[in-house]
Amino acid sequence: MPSIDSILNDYLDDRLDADTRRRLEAALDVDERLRRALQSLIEVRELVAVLPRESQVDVAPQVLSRISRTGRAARLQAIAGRISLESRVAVASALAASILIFLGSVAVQRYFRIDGGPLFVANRLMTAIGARPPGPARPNPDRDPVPETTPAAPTLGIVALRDDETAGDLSLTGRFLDHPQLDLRLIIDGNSEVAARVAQVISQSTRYNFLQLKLAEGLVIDPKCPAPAEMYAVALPRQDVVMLRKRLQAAVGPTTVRETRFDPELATMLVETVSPHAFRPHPRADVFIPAGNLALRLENPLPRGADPLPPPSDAEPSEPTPEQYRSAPITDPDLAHALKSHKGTAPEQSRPPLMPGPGTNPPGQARGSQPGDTDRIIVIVWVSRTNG
Amino acid sequence: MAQKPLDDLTLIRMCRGGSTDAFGVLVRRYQEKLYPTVHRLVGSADDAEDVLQDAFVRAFERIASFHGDSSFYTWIYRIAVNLAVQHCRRRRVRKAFRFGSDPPDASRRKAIDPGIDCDPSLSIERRERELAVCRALDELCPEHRAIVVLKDYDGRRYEEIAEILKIPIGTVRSRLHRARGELRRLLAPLVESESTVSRASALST
Repeated sequence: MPSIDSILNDYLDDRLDADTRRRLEAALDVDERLRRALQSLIEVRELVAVLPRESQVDVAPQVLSRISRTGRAARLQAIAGRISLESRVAVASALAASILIFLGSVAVQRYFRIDGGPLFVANRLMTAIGARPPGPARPNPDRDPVPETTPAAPTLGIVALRDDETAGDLSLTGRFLDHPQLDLRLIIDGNSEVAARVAQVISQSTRYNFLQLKLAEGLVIDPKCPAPAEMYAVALPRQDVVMLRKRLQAAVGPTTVRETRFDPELATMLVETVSPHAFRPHPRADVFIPAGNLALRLENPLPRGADPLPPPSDAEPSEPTPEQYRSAPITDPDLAHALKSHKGTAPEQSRPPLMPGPGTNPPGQARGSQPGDTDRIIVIVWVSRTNG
Repeated sequence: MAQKPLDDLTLIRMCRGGSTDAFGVLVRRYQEKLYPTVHRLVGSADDAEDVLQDAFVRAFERIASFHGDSSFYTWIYRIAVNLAVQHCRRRRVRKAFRFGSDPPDASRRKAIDPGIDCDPSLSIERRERELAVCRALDELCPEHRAIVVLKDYDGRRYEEIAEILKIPIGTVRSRLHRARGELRRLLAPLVESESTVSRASALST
């Protein structure tokens, strides 16, 4: 059975049949509550009906713009569909060609019994048909300009050694800073970026573990260099010092690398003042082939990353002398074969000496030296922190 | 001699031929007629413009399916109303998802735009009354609001509403009864005072 409200709503919207309408009107005449209920519904309807009908709007430009965009997008989509189809055809063709070349190379290899594997044969085949063989692109000097060499920015951090590898930093520090060949200091003014580049160069310039010593703000051991400093104590063959200096100069750019003697008193103060850290080297190869003065030099027998300055021992020298190098028999069969077949070997007397002559000795050479390290010196690279 | 404006069917034929200018004429012809209804349905002027744009774009995309069984205005009106109801449903779902089933808060009330704020000729009392009605409409669910707007605001017949919303006439009737009852509850203070004024004026006469 319909509710009163439902009947009133239908009456309001003129949807009652004649009989129901007549009975409702009769009830309305006598029932005040019913009249108030109908009146409230009429008022609700009127409140909604009289809401303003503001219509100041113009969406035509936006609509037309969207329509044109949609049309353009549809055209682009159609083009993309065609490109996609062409791409698929191209990829499928390339794949089929690659498979054919591979299968052909396998067949050729088996038929002619060529060593080197299918890829080798595929490379040969593709070279023969003018395609670039797979693998990294090689520069073509006729086509590609040779890039100018610029000093590379440091990208690799220096690697600290573990305690068990250094057998105690203090011991290693003592062997560095108390060494009689500690006599050269390279001073560089720079910020943290320069210090990082210096560390990189040092790690690439030595084959031995090296030390980093940091002199904090407020600690002054050298009145000439009162600023905080990062120092690197590095062991080098004496003839490599010039190369280290050049590399440092190239790495730090316009900053001047100054060279001074290292005062032994500073070494004593350093040992007492700073805490060192040992780092592993990352030697970088420099190949020098003097055309008119070719010489054969055997590889240094010390392994990479070795302790540069082993504890002094009179019993067994750590490294053969240059004379021992020259007189030692050649044990490597490949090397012996290479020497035998090499007709342009320079006469022995023209080889550069491995030890600097008496006239080239630096001032520190006069102090006592230990067996086995006569051709190595300790260099302190002192990066005086100007800022940053 | 003034040129006679093109009728809707001619413009529609031109639209089917790819003329967007012809469709622009149709948009300008009917946008102001459609806007108030859409505005009442969605509650805010910005949303109303967006829905109106969507409706015309949708109509252009489907212009090929317009066969002229009804007038273009009826067709676009139907599209616009259904998009507005859909918009309100989405907004309601988003609000429910965001706020749970909390009652309407102050920010929601603030968002209601009766569209009369800029008219200084209206009395403050009338503005407040219209604002209250808009808030009450916004409280209704989209389906009830659509019925009330189409029936009481636009004066559509039950059969038209049923055709536009694709629902049976009985559903139109029952929804309208419920929606009016809910509005009466929401607008009780306003309705009571109106009743009092009406009774007072009746007694005085």
